[in-house]
Amino acid sequence: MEIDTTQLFAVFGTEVKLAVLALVLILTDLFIGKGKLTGPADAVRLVTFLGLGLVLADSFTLVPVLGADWGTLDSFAIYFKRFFLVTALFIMGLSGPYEARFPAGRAEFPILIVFTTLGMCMLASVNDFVTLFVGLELVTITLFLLAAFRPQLPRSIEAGIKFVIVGALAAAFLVYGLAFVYGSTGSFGFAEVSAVVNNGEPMSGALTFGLLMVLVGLSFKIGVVPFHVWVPDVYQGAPTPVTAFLSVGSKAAGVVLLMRVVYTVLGPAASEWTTLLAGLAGLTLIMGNLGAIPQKDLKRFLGYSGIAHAGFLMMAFATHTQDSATAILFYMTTYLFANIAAFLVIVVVSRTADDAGFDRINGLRDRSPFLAIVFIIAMLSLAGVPPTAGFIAKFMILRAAMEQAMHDPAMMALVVLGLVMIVVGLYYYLCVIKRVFMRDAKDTSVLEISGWTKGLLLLCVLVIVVLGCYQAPLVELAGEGASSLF
Amino acid sequence: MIGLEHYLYLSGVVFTLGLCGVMMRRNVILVLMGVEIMLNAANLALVAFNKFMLPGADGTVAPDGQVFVFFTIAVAAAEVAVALVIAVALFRRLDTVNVDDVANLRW
Amino acid sequence: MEQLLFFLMAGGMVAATLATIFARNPVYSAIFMILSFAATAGLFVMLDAYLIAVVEVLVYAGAIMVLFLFVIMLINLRSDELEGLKVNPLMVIAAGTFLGLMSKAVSDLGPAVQSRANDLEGTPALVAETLFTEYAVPFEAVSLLLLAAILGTVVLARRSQDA
Repeated sequence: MEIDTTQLFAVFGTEVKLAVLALVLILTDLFIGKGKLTGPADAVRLVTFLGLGLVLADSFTLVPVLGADWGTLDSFAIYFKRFFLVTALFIMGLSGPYEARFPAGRAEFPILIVFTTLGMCMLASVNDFVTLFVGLELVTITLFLLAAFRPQLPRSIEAGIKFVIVGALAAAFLVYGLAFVYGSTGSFGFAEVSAVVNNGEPMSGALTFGLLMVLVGLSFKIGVVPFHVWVPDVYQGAPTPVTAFLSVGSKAAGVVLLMRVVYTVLGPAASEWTTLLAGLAGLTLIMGNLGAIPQKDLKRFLGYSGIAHAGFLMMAFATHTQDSATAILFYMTTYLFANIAAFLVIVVVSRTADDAGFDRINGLRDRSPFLAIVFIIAMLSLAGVPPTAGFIAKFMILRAAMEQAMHDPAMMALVVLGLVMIVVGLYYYLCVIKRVFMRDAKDTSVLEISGWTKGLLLLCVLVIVVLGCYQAPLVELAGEGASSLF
Repeated sequence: MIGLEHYLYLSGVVFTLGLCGVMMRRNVILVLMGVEIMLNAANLALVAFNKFMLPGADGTVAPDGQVFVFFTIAVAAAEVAVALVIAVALFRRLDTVNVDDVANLRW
Repeated sequence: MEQLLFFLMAGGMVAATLATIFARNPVYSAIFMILSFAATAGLFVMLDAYLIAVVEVLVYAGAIMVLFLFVIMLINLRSDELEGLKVNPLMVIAAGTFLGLMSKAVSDLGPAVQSRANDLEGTPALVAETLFTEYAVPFEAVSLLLLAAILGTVVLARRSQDA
C-alpha cells in the first residue's frame, strides 16, 4: 500500500499544523529568554495565541474529503475541529489571569494545551478504532498531566491521581472491548464494523459484548453514570483553566466519539440499545441534578452540573435521529460559551486563593456589576432559561426526544424525567444566583478585571444571548454537520 | 487441541484478576499494576483473535490485531510514566501512596 | 506437546497474576508481574506473534516494570504501611458480572473467526509493513503522545523537587 500524502495532508492538515505549532513552541521556550522564568513563558503564550488563531482561521478554508483511508473530513469533523480550536483559544485566554500561580512550567502549560487540542481535532476525523484509541489516549494522558499541574497543591495532585486511575481503567475496558469488536468483525474500520452490525442477522454475543465495553470506555469521558465518580473530585482539584478544558473540550471529545460510534457504527441497529441508553440518561440526570444541590464549592458544583448536562446529551443519543444529532452539536456549542464564562468569573473572583467556595460570589453585585451580570447570564443559560442559548439547546433535545416518545414508553418516561430535572436545575442555579444579590461579601474590595478578560466575557455573553434570540445560522451549520453522520 | 476459546477464557480470567487488584488494593502503585494486568489480558485476546481470524479472499490475514497490540503497549508505557510521576509527586507532598488517605476531596 | 506448553504458560500467567495482586510487599508484586508478562510473551510465541513477544519482553517486562520497581524503591514503603487486603462485595459483583458477560460472549463468537489457527506469522517485516502504511496516522500520533508525556513528566518531576 502506497501512502497518498496529498490525501493524508488534506484530511489531517489541521493536526499537522498543530504538531508543527507544538514543536515551534518547544523551540521558542528553548531559545527565547533562556533561563528566565517569565521571558519564555510570555513568548510561548504569544506564539500559542497566534498559532491557534491561524489554525482556526485556516479551518474555515477546509473542504470535506471523503473516502480517504486514514480518516474522514466530513462537515461533522470540520464543525468539531473549529469547536476544539475555539475552546483551546478560550482556555488560553482563561489561563492568563491564572497562570502566575504556576511557579514553574508556565511555558509548558500552553504546549500541553496544544497537544491536547491536536488529539481532540484528530478524534473529530477518526474512522477506525485504532486511531480512535490512540487519539483518545493522546487527549487523556495530556489531561492527566494538566490536572496535576500544580503538584505543590495537595488537591491538584489528588485530582491527578484519581483521574489517572479512573482514566487508565476506562482505557483497559476500551481495549478489551475493541478486542472483541475486532474478533467478531475482523476489522477495526468503522465502515466494516458497521456493515457486520447491520447485515440483517442478529448481532453475535461477542460483538454485543465488545460494543458494550467500548461504550463503557467512552462514557467515562463525558461523565455518564456509573462512570461519573471522578468528575466532581477532579473538577474541584484541578487548576481552574484545566477544569474548564475538561468540562468543555474533554467532554466534547467523548461526545464526538460516542456520536461516531452510536450514529455511524451502530447505525439503525442502535434502536435495540434505546432502553439501555435511556436508562443511563435517566440515572445520569438524577445523579447530576440531585448531587448539585448540596454543593458548597463552585468548581465541584459545575462538575455535578456537567454530569446533569451529560444526562441530556445521553437523552439525545437514546433518541437516535438526525434531529437529535443536530441538537447535540448545538447543545455543545452553547455549553462551551456558558461554561467558559462561568469559569472565567471563577478565576477572577477567587484571585490568588486556591479554592472556589460559594462565598466567593457573595455580594458580587457590589464588587463588580459587570461580573455579576455575566455570571447570571451564564448560569441562566446552563439552567436553560429563555432567552438564552441554553434554552434553545434543551428545547431541541427534548423536541427530538418527544418525537420518539410517541411510540416508545421508555423515551416518554425519560422526557418527563428530563422536564422534572430542568425544574430541579432551575432551583439550584437560582440558589447560586441568589448569593450574588442577597449575601454580603466578606471581602468587599472592588474586583479589577483586565481588558482582555472583559473582552472574553463580553464575547461569551453576546454569543449566549444572540444564539438565544437568533439561532438559525448555527442550527443550519449543526444540521449540516449532523447530516454527514447518517 | 488448543483453540481460540482457551486463549479467550485465559485472557478473561486474567482481566478479572486485574480488575480485582484495582478494586482491592489501596496502594496507588499496585492499583496501576492491576490496570497493566488488564491491558495485558486485552493484548492476549487481540493476538489470539488475530491468529484465529478467517483468511480474506486472497487467503492471507492482515496482522491488524498485532499492530493494535503494538499501539496499546506504547500507550501503556506513556500512561505508566505519567501515572508514576503523579504518584511520586503525591508521595512527596502528602507522604503516602494510599488511595484512602487521599480524601481531602470526597469521593 | 502444544497442550502441555499452553497449560504450563497459562497456569504460570494466572498464578503469577494472583501472586501479584495478593503479595503484601510491592516489590514481590512487581517481580511476579514480570513473570506474568514473561508467560504472556510465551503465549504470543505460541500464537506466532514473534515481534509482539519480543516487544512484550522489552517494553513491558523490561522498561515498564523497571520503572515500577524504581518508583517502589524511591518511595521506600515502610513495613507498617503494608496493607491488609479487603475483599469487598462490590468487587465480587463486578468480577462476577464481567466473567458472566465474557463467557457468554466467548460462546457466540460470530463468523469472522474459525476454529483452526490460520498461517499468519507476525514477523517484523509483516507487522512493520502494516504499521507504516495502513496505520501511519496513529503511529505518528503515538510519537506525539510520547513527546507530550516526556514534556509533562519533566515539569511535574522538576517542580515536586522544588516544593
